[in-house]
Amino acid sequence: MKSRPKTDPRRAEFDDIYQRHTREVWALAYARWLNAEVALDIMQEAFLRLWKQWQEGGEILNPRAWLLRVARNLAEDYAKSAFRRNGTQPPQTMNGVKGRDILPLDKMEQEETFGELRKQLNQLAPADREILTLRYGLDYNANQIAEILDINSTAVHMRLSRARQRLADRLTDHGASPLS
Amino acid sequence: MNNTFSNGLSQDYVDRVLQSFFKKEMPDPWPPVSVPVHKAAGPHSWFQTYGRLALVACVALILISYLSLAAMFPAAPVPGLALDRYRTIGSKLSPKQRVLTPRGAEALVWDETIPGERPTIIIHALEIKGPQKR
Repeated sequence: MKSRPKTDPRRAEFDDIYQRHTREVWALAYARWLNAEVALDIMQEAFLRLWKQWQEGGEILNPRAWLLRVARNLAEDYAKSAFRRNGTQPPQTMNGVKGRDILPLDKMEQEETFGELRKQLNQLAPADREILTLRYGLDYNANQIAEILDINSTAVHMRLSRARQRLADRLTDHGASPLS
Repeated sequence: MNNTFSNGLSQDYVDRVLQSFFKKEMPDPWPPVSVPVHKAAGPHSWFQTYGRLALVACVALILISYLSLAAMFPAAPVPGLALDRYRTIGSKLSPKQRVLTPRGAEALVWDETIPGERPTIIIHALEIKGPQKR
């Protein structure tokens, strides 16, 4: 009897969705926690749930929206459970900036700058972090951000401008030079 | 065009710092897609295929057996005069006779013999209640 290799017809679709939306899902989780590793875990969990949902025969009309919603919920749950466990944020959230191959002095300066930036980003409202992550992390334009956040592009410009202003205020209050 | 924030901080600086910060934070290389690997679905065993069918057949068999056994025993007494309700198992009943009591009421009388070394005879008398006459 001739046997034919079985391929899951949804696997290709899943791969495609992963390629297209994985960074957005990561970005939303990252904006909540400011921790790349946690965001990766949340992103992978969200995609895993999508896969399971499909395997169980669940029909999802808009996988992108579904993933973003699940990622947000997971990020919230993670925040709550982490708070219960530790009572505060883990130290690496505040300090952990992974180094790349740059000169030690530059690296030190960069780490200091990024450490401060991370601290101030962490003090911003989640909505501010979200829009900044989408703009600067994913390099999305106003229309793309508007689509994800389900608001219009004018509101995106306004929110982005305010978020940057608030961040700039905080950075200045904590030592950034106005002439930088 | 104003390129500084109200606090005097350069917008370019903020943009630059944010861009490099987020660029650094983004995982590189990006993790490949990973989903749980399922074993290729092999041929189903007999039980997997016919398990439910077998279960239904078993339940049906039990039901049929119960009904068949039940049919071998006398049915419940007919509605109305439940005269044999308290009959002792193994006893013999005489035919019932309709008699008139000294006061003129109708009654059924029969006897029940319980066999044994010393047989016991129980005489039953049951008044037949009709419409009361004044």
